[in-house]
Amino acid sequence: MADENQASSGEYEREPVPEHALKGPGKFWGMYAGEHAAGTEFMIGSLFLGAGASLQDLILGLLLGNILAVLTWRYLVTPIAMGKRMTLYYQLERIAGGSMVKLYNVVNGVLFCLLAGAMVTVSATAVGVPLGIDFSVPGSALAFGSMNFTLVVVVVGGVMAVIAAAGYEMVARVANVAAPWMIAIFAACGLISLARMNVSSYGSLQEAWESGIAFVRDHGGETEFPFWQIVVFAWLCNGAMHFGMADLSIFRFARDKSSGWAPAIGMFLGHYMAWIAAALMLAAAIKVSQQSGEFGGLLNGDNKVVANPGLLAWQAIGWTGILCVIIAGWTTANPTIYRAGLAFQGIFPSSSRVTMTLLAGAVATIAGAFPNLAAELLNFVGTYGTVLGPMGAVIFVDFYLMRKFGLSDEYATHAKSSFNPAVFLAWGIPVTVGLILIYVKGIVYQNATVFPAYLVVPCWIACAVLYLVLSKITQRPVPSYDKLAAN
Amino acid sequence: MAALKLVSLLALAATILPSVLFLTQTVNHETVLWVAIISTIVWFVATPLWMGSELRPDLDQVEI
Repeated sequence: MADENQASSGEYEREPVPEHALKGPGKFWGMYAGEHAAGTEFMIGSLFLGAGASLQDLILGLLLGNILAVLTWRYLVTPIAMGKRMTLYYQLERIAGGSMVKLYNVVNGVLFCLLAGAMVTVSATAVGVPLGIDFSVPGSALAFGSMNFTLVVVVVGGVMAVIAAAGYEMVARVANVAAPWMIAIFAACGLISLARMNVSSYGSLQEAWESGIAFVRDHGGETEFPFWQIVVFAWLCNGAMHFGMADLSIFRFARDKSSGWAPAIGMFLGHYMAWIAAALMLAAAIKVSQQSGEFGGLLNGDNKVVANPGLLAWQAIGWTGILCVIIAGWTTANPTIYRAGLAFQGIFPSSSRVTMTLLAGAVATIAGAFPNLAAELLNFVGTYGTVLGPMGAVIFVDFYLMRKFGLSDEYATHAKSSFNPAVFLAWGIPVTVGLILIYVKGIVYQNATVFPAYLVVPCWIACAVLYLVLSKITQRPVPSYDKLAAN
Repeated sequence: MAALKLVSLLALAATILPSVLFLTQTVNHETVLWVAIISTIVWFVATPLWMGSELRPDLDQVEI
């Protein structure tokens, strides 16, 4: 089955976690402290300024969004994880059937490759700095960067793919050691950026920030990124992990419900401090460029502001910054490519994991050669949540509502089915509508598309309602647990 | 072991402290850059010697 290939953190993949393997809250706080300090934070943070977010909106919007994300982990994911103590994949297999899980895995794998591609791009920007290779974002979404930058992406992606094919353990050990250091470097970059802007008070920071936004707008940037858009993005950028229930795999080990608060430490270090620090790096780069009149690396060929994570980190903290961007990108791209490889292997069980990981690495490298993927990371991350998040609604309905409505929970197991069409339709319909709204202009707004993160919750709710209704229509009487056990 | 942990802790502090001093205009940017890279080297030499080899169960998970 597909989830047999998910084994990596290893145990109890196809059974509830037993009492003796449960872990206390301290373990989860330690675990999440190193989460969300990824290479993409360097990009996402600076994109907020590039999109025109005001400083106050950013500080308060990220605060509220991250609080909502933590509440979602605590009150949506943790109770189900502790109630079932199974991985997302095993629960899905019992509800939707093995074939449906394979399909879900393919979608996962493709999205993982794209995400890893953005991480390859981010790392390549850092490798490019000492080589004097600029990162520029072409006007067309499907255009490559410069030839030299594309070559750097190919080398960086190739190395990452080969290392991922060797397994995730070695890089995981590096990630373990690097996590506290990366967080410290993010903080240092933020402080140095404040100093580079000669900030001495909140007022002077606001002045520098507004000057940065004016510069971005003068150079054809987004016009605005309002408060609620920031809140929704911060809340739902991890939609696949909380609304989508991917973190059931982690919280199934929780002894105490209070473990559900642990993502707070990762969110407030990675998605608050690090994002603001990255945004400050771009603000400092703009201010210093304005003072010196040197705009090399900051403006594209078409005179638009480009967020170049490698260059920003270099300007802030030199070689340490370059190292941090590379390690942050590498340590997070590695498990992503590895998991994409496992997902592809689930479709071709006779293939080797190494081959499939190399394939996933190749796809990620090709994706990374398109700079717009990283430059549009705010949209991609929202799309990722919109596609994967709704599957969590199926888990939610199965756990809380099926029996209350006189329906069978874990239907595929009871019906001995490998494909539950109710899950397929309940997931597929809202996601298809969501993707149309994201990619087809003019449906909701004139000549514009919907910000993807806005669609995570509506698609999740639609999936839940559809799953309940379709189950009512399609379910037939099935044997009880007792009869299944007797057989 | 305790000595190694102390070395790591000092290295970690040394990655941030100079940036605070730069903000207060006590040291210059060049000094910050040098201290950061030296403390980074110290961190990566000292920390693997004491940090447990047990992997966090989430290290194979995708993160954003």
